[in-house]
Amino acid sequence: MIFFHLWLVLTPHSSRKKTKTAGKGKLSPVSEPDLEPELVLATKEVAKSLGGDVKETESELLSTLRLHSSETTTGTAPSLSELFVGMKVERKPQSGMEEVPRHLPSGTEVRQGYHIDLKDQPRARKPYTQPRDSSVPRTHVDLFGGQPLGIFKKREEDTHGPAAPISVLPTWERLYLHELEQSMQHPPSNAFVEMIQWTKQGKLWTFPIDNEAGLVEEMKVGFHEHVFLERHLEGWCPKRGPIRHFMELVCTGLSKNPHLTVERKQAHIEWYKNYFNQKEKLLKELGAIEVS
Amino acid sequence: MSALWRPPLPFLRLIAAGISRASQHRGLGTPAGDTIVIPKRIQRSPTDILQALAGTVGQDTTGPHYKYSDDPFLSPYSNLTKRSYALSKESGRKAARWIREKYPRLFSHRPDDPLIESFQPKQQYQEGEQVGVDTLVGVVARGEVANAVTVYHLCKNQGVALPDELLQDLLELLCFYNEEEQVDVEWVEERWYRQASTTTRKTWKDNSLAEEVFASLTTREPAAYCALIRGMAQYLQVDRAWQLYQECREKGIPLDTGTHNALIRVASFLRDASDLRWQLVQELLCTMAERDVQPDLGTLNATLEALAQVSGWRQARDLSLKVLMEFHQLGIKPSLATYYYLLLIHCRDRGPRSDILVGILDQLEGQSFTLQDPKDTSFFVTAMEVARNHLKSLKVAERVDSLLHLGDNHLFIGDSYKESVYYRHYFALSCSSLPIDEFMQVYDKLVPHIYTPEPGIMQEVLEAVQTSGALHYLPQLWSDMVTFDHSSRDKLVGLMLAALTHHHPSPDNPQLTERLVTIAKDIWTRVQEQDPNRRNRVTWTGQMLGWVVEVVVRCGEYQTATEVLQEATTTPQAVLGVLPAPSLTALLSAALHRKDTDTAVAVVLYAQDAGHQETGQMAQQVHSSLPLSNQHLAKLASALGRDVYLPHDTPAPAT
Repeated sequence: MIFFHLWLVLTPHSSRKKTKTAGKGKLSPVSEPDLEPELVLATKEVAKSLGGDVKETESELLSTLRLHSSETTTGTAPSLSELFVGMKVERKPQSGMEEVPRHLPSGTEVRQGYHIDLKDQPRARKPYTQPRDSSVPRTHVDLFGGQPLGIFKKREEDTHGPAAPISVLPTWERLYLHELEQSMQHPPSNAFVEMIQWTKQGKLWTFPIDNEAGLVEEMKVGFHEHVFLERHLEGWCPKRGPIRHFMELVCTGLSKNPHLTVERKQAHIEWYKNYFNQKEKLLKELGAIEVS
Repeated sequence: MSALWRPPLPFLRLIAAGISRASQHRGLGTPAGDTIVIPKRIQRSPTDILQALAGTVGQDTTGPHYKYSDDPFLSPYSNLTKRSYALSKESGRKAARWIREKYPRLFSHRPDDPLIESFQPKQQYQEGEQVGVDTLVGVVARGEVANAVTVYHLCKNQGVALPDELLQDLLELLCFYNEEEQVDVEWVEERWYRQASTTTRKTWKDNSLAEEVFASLTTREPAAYCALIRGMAQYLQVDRAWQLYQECREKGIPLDTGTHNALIRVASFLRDASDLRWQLVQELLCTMAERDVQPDLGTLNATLEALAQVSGWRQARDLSLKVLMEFHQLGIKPSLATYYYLLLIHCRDRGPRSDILVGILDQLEGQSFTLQDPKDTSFFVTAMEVARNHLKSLKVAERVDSLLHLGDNHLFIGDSYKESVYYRHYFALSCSSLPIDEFMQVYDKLVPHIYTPEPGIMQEVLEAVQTSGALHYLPQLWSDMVTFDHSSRDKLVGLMLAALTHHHPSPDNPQLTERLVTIAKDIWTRVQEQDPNRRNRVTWTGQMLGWVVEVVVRCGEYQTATEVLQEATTTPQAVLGVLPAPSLTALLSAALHRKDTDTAVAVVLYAQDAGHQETGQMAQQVHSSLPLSNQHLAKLASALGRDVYLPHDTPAPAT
């Protein structure tokens, strides 16, 4: 019966019912491994140092040790901190661990939140219960030890691993990748990460800074079209005289202007051409154009 | 072209010699001074150097997150303030964007060259606007769902003929997002704090635009069926998805891998019994093999997800390993999501204990991950939860933690909710496994900037401190509790008071005594001054008041104790229960020591009202130690009755 009482105090994580059944099961253990005498001595010392009811503490510690030694197959004694896991050195019997407060999801809820359980009704939030057969040695799982199902045949020509299956939905795949990328976008943790995010969003110049970044149209136009504008004067502009002077100044000015596109510059010159054409009579009267 | 300037020859030779010497020095293999090997230029993307710089910055636990002001008064400490500060910062950005969109005439200048798209207002499409095929193409390419719907309707009204490829793209867009507009990419904080809604209800919009577009396709390509089935399966319209699948099977329309994956994922909804569900999944896999549809990582994850949904089925564990092996021999490498599902299957609450996490960690040790599946982000949370609840091993937890903090893996924490759950498990595990001093080191590292403990966890910490008797941590814990807004929780305040009573003042710890008394007084004043209209208030219980009295009396603060007693006597309805006898005895002895008759009598009267057995004793003590005035005697007599306490030879008081 002593085990029964001890269990009630020892395991605050378990509900009453479970401990009773577990406790009853523990009444007649099949094979109780013996503890080393040094361990027993150590427990006595610890019990004495803790104070309170020495005998009770000692028996609690010893039973926990026995539990752990039945579990560990390697046979190394558990450390003291492991022993004290979940153990409270209290004399009064616990009133049972209270339920996990509503706003804290317990283990089951965390997992149930992430997958769908149709068959099982959503369990009432019980505090975490110890696995029923905790005395069973832990099952060591070899990850790649299972037998394959045998549904898919490995193709012989795939020596480099399988080629990615071609998807027939390119838009879907694009959106899927976009969403994946977004789920990795966290608030930046330092200025560099912030700059990386801004660069990817197009808000920041890309390094190394290229003055002509983003000027796609201008890349197609050579600098000679911006600078050598005198050729647009051929045909209509007189070779000497005030008009020529003026138009050469216009060309020089335009060639130095970095803000206009080539079309705009040509449009400027076109405008002057039209203007002088309209005013030709007046110019001839004034003598600005040579009458040939 | 102007001639290239060349440095003078001797200068060149010097440089050459220098380079070759330098390269020899670094062991780059250049022979003595003759040939210069210029290494090939390494092509760097625009963010590579920034990435390298970011890699040098570790996690700083001593200050708040980068998004907050790094000022002790301005940085948030409690969970509520962290969330509200981050979201309010983002709402400022949203306000700026709102102004940009509402008053475009204020922004007619264009200071940015080249143009920054994200600063331009979002294109809205009104009724009556002229739209063409190109508009719809652009909108679908940018993934704007609401605009796509509007433009589609406009095109239909204006009679614009839409080609089939465009309709197919539109169908894919609508199916992927279920016609819901997504949170803009720019609102990072909103996405970070958004809790993933895990509904198991069908959210697919029946008879909606997606199905209309599907019907309007002139030729029903397999791609259209694929898109519709995938969309329906994703938003849990399982029956129709299955119907369509059967239709495709009958007509012999080939479906691709992703569609089959989506169907496997929802197979649990189609059958009730566990073995029938597995049978259905197997059928789907066999169909894939027959039709020569190549499986991929998605298939593996979908199969394991289906197995995880057959909860409690014994064979699930063995089957999961078989599935893993099957795909392993096909050369498909598992991702974090695979391991997540394996943990779900193997480490059940009520099942036998499984060591699979250790095996998984052995497999994953030292690796950097890339995101391949949306569920990859759930792995670390689940692993930490398994380490805490299932394996109860701090060693495993620390391995998980070091894996998370390796390189860029910290991005796999998902969102803020998962991060808080992760650290909650780690924290609680440390609390229960480590001795108190080491645990307080973990506490100092994580709290408050990385993780703020919830009330339940704070309770565990307080209990641990109380158990180990390390009461010198209580002042720090109390100030943290006040900052985190836990001072209005009954249980925590009660626990703190109970912990305080364990302290026994002695000459060698006067400072600690003083600080602990300050805590008790602070609790007293705080609770007394709390707003009566608040929802979460601390209600005094007799036990708590008793503890307050005990602590302050033991540590020499008599004044507060009298105040407490005053409060208890004058407003008994504000207190649940009564002060327990030990605290009253302690107060009485202090009163007697100070020869404070009023208080002593008040204590006795209170004890009588409370119905304590020791009242008689207390009355006798009072009577024997202190001279009582007639008033006091009258009061005692009226309360206790003459004969209870008076020794027999006391004359009756003058009436």
